[in-house]
Amino acid sequence: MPTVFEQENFAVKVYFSDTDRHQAPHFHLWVEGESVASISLLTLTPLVGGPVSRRIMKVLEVRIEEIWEAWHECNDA
Amino acid sequence: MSATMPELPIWEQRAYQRMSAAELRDGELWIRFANGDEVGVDPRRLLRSTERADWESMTVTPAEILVPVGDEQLAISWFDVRASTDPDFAGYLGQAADDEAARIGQRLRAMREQRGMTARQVADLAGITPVSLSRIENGHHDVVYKTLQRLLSAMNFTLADLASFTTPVEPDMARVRLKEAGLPPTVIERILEGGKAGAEQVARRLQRIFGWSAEDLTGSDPLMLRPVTPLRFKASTNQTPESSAYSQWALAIAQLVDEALERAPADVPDNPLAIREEIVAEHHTVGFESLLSWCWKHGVAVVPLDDSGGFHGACLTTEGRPTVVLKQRTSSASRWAFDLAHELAHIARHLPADGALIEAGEISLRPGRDDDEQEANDFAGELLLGDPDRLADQLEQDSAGQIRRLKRAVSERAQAERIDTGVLANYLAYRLSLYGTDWWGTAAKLQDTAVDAPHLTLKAITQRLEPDRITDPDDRRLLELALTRENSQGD
Repeated sequence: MPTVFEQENFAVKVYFSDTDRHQAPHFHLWVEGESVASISLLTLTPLVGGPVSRRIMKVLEVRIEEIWEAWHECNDA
Repeated sequence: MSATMPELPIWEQRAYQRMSAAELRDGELWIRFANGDEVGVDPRRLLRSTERADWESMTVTPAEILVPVGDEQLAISWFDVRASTDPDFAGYLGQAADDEAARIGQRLRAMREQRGMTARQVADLAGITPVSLSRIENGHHDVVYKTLQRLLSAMNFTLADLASFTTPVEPDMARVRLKEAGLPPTVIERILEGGKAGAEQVARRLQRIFGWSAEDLTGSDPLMLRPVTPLRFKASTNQTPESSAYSQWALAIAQLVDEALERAPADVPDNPLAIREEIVAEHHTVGFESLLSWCWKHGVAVVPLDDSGGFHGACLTTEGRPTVVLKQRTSSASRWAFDLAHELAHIARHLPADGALIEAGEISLRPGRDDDEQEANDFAGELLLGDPDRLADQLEQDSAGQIRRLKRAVSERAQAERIDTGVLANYLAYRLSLYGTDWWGTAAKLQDTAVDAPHLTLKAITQRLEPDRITDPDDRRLLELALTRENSQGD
């Protein structure tokens, strides 16, 4: 399953195709069980969707290494 | 040139992102979307291994297709399907990748400069050539993960630092771009603290409020706004770019206010008479002061802003916690009471748990606005006056149908009915205007000038804010700057 982690009411997911080299490395943010945004992995810039609350953005900043590892696992799979 | 709130591209629309059905036909996976699109794609583009995929047992949810593959269940997102089948979306993502490379390059260069290191020093420590580093910093090169880690490590930074890093923005350049974006000078000087804010501070603030990075600001393209919350404007004729940028400012401040308050989600009654009854029971009369008090008691924060420009008010809900932003050139308590009651109607009837609504144009009693606006006006009239139609009929009798007797009749009737004289006068002026009589001048003379509504609102919020709840010290400063009244600004 693509879920990297869940915290409070949101989850971060990475899919196999997110490692497409023609796209900026990115992940997907789900809030309250709904897909709400696709966010670039290095600068946390929303590519599609949003807005992302500051509370969630701060968690993403703190857990970015974890998301990166998941993205690489997906890329190497 | 002004900042614009662009029309959302098709891929930002929910129906474009939501899948409703999928089936495997002739070796292709056919997927139907909520907007009626049906697209076909080679499933090998979506799953790494399709050998053991059990397509018959796949499950389609709005955002994912779940496919059993052996013991696992693999997921395909709407994003992948669209990127594989919509050339426009794929093109946008390609451009976004280039923009991201430029952002990373600018940040790496700014980080290097912050450390006071030369390109050669960093390149040597990271084991790459200065030419490669230059290409990366100029955004001409997709930096691979391992190289990026070595670069960050050479400068003693982490990935988290890169993600949260803000490239500095010189205040003078920011002033020019903010002016172009249509922001009033008072707001620009609040953000720049009259030129005293540092370049890093300015960059963080602009990113925080408008989502504008240094890369956006140094470019020559018009600045684009991405809404900070699901947002809609009232009074479509007044959706000016200027009010777009100011709205973003107002909403950012409303969010900071929300952060600085401890409060539960509020339940604003749908019935204005229920609110009126409660206020009358406690305060005997419904005026701005008593309505403001009711708002705070029921978890509705009220924020006064003091800037020039075409924005008149907004309401915002964050996880069910409502905040009203008011901005009026007049300090008339009756006008502020009407606007506040009007915004309460939107909170009670028109806003979701997370959303915002902007009053770009003046909140007005005049007819001809959209249904929500008319409904909010009726709500405000009932909340403040109880039964406005009955009062109007009564006043006609009190004055024996003579305009010259109306002023006195309004004062006496307001006193007898324990209602706000100014609100009643404004309502009557509105009624008379429908019949071609201009009574606004007399109504203006009946306004209570003893109550300074902006001052009262500021006092109420200042007493309740707990700035220490805001974790970022600069955000605390920003809120303080936003709430400073214009005549006490040093500019």
